[in-house]
Amino acid sequence: MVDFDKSLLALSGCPVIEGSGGAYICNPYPIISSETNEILSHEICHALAGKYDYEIFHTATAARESQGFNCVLNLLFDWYHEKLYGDRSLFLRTFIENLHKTFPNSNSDNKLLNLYHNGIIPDDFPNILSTIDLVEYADNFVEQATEQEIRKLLLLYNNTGGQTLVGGGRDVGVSPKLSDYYFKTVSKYNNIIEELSTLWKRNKYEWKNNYFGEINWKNLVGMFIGDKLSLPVFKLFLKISMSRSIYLVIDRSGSTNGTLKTTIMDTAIIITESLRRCNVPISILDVGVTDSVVNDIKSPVQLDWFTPMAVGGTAIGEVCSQIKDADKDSYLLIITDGEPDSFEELLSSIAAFPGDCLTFVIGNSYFKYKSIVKNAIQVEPNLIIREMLNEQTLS
Amino acid sequence: MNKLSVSQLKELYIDGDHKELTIKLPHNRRKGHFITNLLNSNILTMGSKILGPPLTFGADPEFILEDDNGGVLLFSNEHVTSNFGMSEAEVGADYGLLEFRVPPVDNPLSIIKSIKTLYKKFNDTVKGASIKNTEAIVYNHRLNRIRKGIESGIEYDYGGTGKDQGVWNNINNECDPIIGLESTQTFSAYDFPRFPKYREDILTAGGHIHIGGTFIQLLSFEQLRLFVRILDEKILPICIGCETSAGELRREAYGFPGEFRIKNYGIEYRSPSNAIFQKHNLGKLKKVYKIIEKIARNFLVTLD
Repeated sequence: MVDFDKSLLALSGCPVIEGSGGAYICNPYPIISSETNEILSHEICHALAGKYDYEIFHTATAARESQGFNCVLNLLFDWYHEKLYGDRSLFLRTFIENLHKTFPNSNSDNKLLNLYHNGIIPDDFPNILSTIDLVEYADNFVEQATEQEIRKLLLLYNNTGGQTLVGGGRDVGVSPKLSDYYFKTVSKYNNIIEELSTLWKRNKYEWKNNYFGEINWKNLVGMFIGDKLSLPVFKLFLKISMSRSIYLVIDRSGSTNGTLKTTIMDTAIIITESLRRCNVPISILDVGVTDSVVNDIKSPVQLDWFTPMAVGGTAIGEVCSQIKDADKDSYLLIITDGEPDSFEELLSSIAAFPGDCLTFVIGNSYFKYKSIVKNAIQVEPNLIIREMLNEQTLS
Repeated sequence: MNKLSVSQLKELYIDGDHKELTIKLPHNRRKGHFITNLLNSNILTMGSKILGPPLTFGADPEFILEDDNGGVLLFSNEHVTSNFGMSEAEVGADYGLLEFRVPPVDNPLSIIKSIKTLYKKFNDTVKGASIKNTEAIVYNHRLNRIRKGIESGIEYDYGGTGKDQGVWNNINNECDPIIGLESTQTFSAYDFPRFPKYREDILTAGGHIHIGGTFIQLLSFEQLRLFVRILDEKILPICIGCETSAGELRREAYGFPGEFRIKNYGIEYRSPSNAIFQKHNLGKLKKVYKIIEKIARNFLVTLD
């Protein structure tokens, strides 16, 4: 059963793909699972905030082998993530309730208790640029704290369930900022996405020199004949190099209104998620609604941006010209209905792009688009993409 | 207490005290190549692997066997009496080749000793077959495997995913399948990888070198690629220097510079042929492992 917990989505940006008995299997990729280890179960809430942060936590606690440090860093991570995401976990909420019960008039010298009890941020609290700052602060805190202070924290921590709390998830969620369309789509097409990711990874070994990172154009002929239209599409996709940066331009202009806009968005999500799971850097560019770069190549993809919309003009060329950091190994993928405002501007932007370019044209304007722009592939909504998305076809 | 000089941090790194280095690093984030290299590595995100051994060495050299008449002999369990599966045994078989699965050790001298032991074990237990000192031979191995399979029911497709993880991953053969993933993908240390074509008409024998431990595990992918490029520069010429003319024949199918796989223990360097593992070259092999140790211990310190 593939489903998502919305309350978790809001906080994490990461879909929970399975949940049973208080144990969550989460995705950022690769999957992090917690089924038998109670402490790890709690740490899943950290993992939800990102794999990198979780690994920082895990490494820091593994290296120090100190229960006191583990407790302090745990609390700091909770505080930080919940401050960051504007919400409190069940764990932290219970911890604070216990704190007030146990020490009703706490005016402690313990900076960490003060932070939680009274919301007073210590003077020496770092400007947090990454969770490594929290590790540094936790070290300093443990070094300066008395044994009694650490014992007090541990007592509260353990009573709250720091060692035994199962699940550790957040039960208070807010609605996603823009959309949970991405997660629903990933959920719907998860098998296909996994298939594509596997193909990309597996294919790396098989690449021949002349096809490295290139589209194998011989497959194009097969796209337009035969019953299994999905196969050539897979073959095309799997020629995209994992070592390249991908610039994905998604057309959400007014002309895509109707079923086109969802087909375009579904295609974009399938490509994005499949590549994301292979750790390929992707920059998303929005045509129509904002005509802007949604995330640059060094930033994580904003999953909550992916919403089917059809607004405004089709300034693909103008949007492509906003790409600043591409190199010859970069790949420009455009998903559009094939009706740009200006072909001249589009051609000039493609010419200026240092790497290769490929366009997926969805809709009736394919032949006109193809006659002007090289490397275009027709994607008929009711044929190729639908065929590709049909899980029965795969099996 | 946590503040250290750069030279003290370098000392921790070179000594392999990476656990302590992990603790000190958050307090010593300052400018300079070495610190930047460390922060760009995986040292702060490698989880409990940080508690593992700093450096391990292993190998899985393959050898072509010949029978008493000088013909190619496809090695299989019909030639041994061991209860071990040939895909798992220390002296085992891999697609008709003899393969030594050298258990990981923590110093170059021990690995040479282990290989000598495996040679002895082979000589003591396998009769009617001897090791052919060649890196490759023109021989349709696929066809002959199929023929042999039909004739006597022997399956030669040992190896690959069937290998016992315990042989490979952890020192002392402690198997922990949970940590990380085994990679069956071959990566290239160069921007334009050249993986030669599969040739069913050439039987080849590789001499893959396994390098593991926190020195390797903490490296990012890009750092690993650079590390392998240094191996190409310092190690590969020695390995190629030991080869016969059949070394070139092998490279028609396998063993381009820069080929490696990422493993749980670290990396498998796949470019060398079996020549360096042949009995008369073990002195040079010891030198190779000593150079590898030196490169690994100093890698992030000397990296610009």
